[in-house]
Amino acid sequence: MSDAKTLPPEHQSGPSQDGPPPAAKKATPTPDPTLRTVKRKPLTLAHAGWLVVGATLILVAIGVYCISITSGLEGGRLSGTALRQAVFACLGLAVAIVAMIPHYRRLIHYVVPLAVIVVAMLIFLLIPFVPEAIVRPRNGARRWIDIGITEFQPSEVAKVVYVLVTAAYLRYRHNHRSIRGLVGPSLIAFVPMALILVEPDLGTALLFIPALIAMLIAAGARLSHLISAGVLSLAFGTVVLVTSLVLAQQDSYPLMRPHQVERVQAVMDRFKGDDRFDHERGFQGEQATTLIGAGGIAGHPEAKSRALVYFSSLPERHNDMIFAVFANRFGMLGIVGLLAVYAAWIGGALAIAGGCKDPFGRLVCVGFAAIVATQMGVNIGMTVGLLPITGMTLPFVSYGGSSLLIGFVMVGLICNIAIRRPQYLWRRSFEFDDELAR
Amino acid sequence: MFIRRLLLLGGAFAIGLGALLIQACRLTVVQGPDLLDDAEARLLRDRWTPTVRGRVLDRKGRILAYDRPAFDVMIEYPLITGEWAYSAAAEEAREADPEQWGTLDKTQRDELIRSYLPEYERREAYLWANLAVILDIPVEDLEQRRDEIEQTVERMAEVVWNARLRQRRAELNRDREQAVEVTLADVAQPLREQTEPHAIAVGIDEETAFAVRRLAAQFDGVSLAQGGWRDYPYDSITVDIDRSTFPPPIRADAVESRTVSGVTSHVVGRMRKLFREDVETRPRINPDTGETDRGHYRHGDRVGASGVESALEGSLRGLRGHIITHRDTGKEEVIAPVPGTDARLTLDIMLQARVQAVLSPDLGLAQVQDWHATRAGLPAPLGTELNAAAVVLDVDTGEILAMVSTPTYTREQLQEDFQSINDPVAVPLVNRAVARPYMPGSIVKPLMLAGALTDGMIHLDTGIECTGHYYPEHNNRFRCWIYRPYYGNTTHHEQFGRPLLGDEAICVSCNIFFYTLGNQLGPDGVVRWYKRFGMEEPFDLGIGAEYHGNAGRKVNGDPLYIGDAMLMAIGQGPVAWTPLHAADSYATLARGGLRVTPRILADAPPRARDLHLDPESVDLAMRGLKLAANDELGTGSSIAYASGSEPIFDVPGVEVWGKTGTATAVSLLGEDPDGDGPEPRPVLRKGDHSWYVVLAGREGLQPRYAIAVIIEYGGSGGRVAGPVTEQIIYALVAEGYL
Repeated sequence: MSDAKTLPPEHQSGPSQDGPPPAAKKATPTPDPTLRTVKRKPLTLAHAGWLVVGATLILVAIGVYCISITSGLEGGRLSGTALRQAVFACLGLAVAIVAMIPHYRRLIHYVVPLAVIVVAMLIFLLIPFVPEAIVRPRNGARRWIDIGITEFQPSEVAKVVYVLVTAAYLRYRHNHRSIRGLVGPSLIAFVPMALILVEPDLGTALLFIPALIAMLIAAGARLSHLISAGVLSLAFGTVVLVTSLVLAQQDSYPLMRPHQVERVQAVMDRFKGDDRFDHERGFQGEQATTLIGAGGIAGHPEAKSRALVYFSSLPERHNDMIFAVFANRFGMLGIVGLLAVYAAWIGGALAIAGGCKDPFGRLVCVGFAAIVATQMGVNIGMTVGLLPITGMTLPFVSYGGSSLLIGFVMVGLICNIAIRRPQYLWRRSFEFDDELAR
Repeated sequence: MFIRRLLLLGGAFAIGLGALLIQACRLTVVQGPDLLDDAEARLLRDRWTPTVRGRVLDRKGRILAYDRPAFDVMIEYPLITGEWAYSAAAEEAREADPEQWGTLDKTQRDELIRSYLPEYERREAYLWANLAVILDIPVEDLEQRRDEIEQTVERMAEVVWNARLRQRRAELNRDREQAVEVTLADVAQPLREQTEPHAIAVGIDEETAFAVRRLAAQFDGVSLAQGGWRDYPYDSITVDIDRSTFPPPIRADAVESRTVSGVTSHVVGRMRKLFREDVETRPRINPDTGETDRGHYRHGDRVGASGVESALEGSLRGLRGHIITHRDTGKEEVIAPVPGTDARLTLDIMLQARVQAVLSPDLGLAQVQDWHATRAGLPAPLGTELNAAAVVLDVDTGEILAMVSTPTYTREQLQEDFQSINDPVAVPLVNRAVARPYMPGSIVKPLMLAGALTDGMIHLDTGIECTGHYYPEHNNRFRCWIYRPYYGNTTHHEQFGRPLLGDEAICVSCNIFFYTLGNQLGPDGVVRWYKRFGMEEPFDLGIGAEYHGNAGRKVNGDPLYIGDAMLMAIGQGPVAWTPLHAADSYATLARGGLRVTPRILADAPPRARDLHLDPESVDLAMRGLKLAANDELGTGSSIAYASGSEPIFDVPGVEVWGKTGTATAVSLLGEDPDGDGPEPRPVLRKGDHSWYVVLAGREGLQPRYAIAVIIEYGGSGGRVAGPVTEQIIYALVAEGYL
């Protein structure tokens, strides 16, 4: 894998390529001492991927530690769940390394089959007669497939595959710079979103939108188009929300489910300072913000933090609400640190995108960064009470084998892109000049 | 260009991070300390141990009420309603095969549950059968108790939910034009009563509790609670009564044992369940000072409902113990409970029991007897039970030695058979000795005499001629009691052959004499003397409701006329008081005009006031009282039985001063039979109340005890109340007071 022969063919013949044809090589069958041969290793170790890997490892370590805090009052040894998470993290590292080995551009060939498989899995979840041993609904949602050792969520895989598909789709195009060209990528996003919405899993479904927008922005779509589309969808969303809230007063829930409306109301209650429903719809959020606030500036010693967490009635404490546990243990300073680590991860991924000349690689990095950033933002936002509560995990920190593995797949792919040194003479992709744009 | 776009994306990310940081900062730095308090509060679990209520003691230190350490058997509500079996069966059905469970629909699940149900029903039956054996009561009683609890809770839930529904509706529709529909199901969260255990049996002893504890080990829903059980050991007392001193018709040469119950009911009172209002009167955190009140009320507490238990609730109650457990470290901070302060009464409970025995109708004195008959006939058919009240007061100290009101009630009766207490004639809940108004009648005459003499209206040697009727031209108004057609229109003047002096007027209870005094004192004077003797001034005994008396306040608010003053001077007209007022005023007279407010709590500070009575007026009144009770002309000296006339007071070695009263009473009417018809309401009781107030002391010494007796609708004061009063004097002798 270490020489140029392993590179996929389009590497040499892409239209975006700009430089002398490989005929130059044929013209010099024997080395000419007057010519300086430029020999360049195709792989590099000096890349921003380390930033991503480092950030990931820190986050995973924080996650394992926080999960063990939630296990009870007794400290000392890693708890069962924390141990399981650690095992999954090791497994994840292996998966990441495997994901680094083949050249990432090879993936482009498999994008369509992958998409088909994911869509098939998402449909499989929704088939009504699948035995419950395989697809067990929880709280009425059909999101998990039981594969024996663990359960996994196809929607997690869908996120990754979706980014790959969109990146592959957008890589040589420039029609997305017109408003009509936005239809294609939107349709690609629509299929998994719709399937995931039916599960139902509103949170994960909504994750596709920021990823799409980020990739479109990176691929050079016109901001004015995106903004007008954004304004339109924002207006639509507002209408849905307001209608739901108004109709909820009359006990009618045509657009959103009652628990979703309640969660929105809970956030509004908090901003209005209305504590009447703290023990009903605002319960989970109230418990989380109490724990976070209790962390103060510098947090608490582990034993104290364990007790505070143990005796709070915080649900999903090792999972969706892990941030509250972290904030309680490490306080405001810890939060700043954690956000800095995430910033490093995102910054690293964006830097790799910037350093990479290949359009596919660029978009994949941006897409993954968008997914991790959104997931982190939504999770922390809901935990601190800025956003309605939705089932979204904190990437790399929350407990969960399949989401951790998928996270490591993303890390592996990003590193895969990072280690491939771009060819000198490649044109940087998506550098549209305004002529072409019109 | 691409880099710029990446920077744009990075910038958007940074803005998001900024928002998160600001909110996190708001939570941790700004609200941090408060939220930390909230979070730390969850680390503590505080348990409040129950208070230990103070005891109630009588004057000789006998324990009238105390908290017996005892246990309540608590049962979870689902076990009480029987829902437990089904939900436990459902649990097992689900656990047995969770995967299959998930595939079943509602009816299939129900079928599956029913297959598990018999086992749980068997266990449930086992529980109740065993509990019945342990508690030694029939299973049916337990079932009845369960039904009661269930009904009470369901009723409560209905009320609460409906109230919540109204409140929620009002809340939602406050600013809305269109009504928002809220249903009962929206507000029907289970009440605390539906999730907490209930007491199925209370006050069980240690041995029974041990057996229950073994049962509780098999059933999660069964537990024991520390429930101090208020015990009243002297509530039922047996006394020996010597019938040889009774009036001849019921006399017997025998000593009879009598058991009286409810001896402490009126004075000591009873306990009741906690009401929500109680919690508000004594909340855990004082809303003004923010301090924690360790005596606060909690669910399951009992509160004094009447008598001393109610009046001294604050000091009897005591403070709870407080156990704060640090749940993280397991450390406990224990604040020991502070028992309530004992209440010591001036009552002698044995004397109280004797007086109550005397007033019991079945003994014979407090029922209509043939010697009660006047020339107008019997007040009620022979054998009719008479309701009565009596007060015995220590003259020297103003302490109440006995205070009895019959019929009384027992606490069990109140709990089990409330209907038996809900009787318009008997009204057992009312303490007649202090809380029911009666017209005083002639017993006020010595007070008026002393007052008029002190005011200088008459002199010691002033004689007043009894003319039979006060106004010469009206022979049917303001008459003397003796001036009646069947007496041959006689007068006291004819009897004595001269105008009556003050003591003689008391002796024969001459109305004309006291009409004259009333006329001279005028309304102001009469009212003033009534008030000086203690009317319209609270006793503040601390045993619950008191009637403060009425001296000259008319129902219609009219001013008092001279005619009212004349009537009030013989204890009629707009005037009413209680037996305690009567005993109190006679004790004041016996002290030569020093009024010591009666008290029943030994620790109550004595309150005394000198009325500045003319000593000679007191002597004259006392002489009159002595004549009235002992002279052959005295209205309260003897009773003519079929077997011959006998003196009322014949207690060896005891000297008696006393005055009878026959006070006009409003007839007691029953309910209108059909509610609105023109037919008159049935008369339940009619006639006069019978009073006798005496001062008694050892022969040749000063009077030591004031005794006031009233027999409701008894008729003649001397004939009815007289023998009762004599037996109370015998009771004082038997208890060593005389």
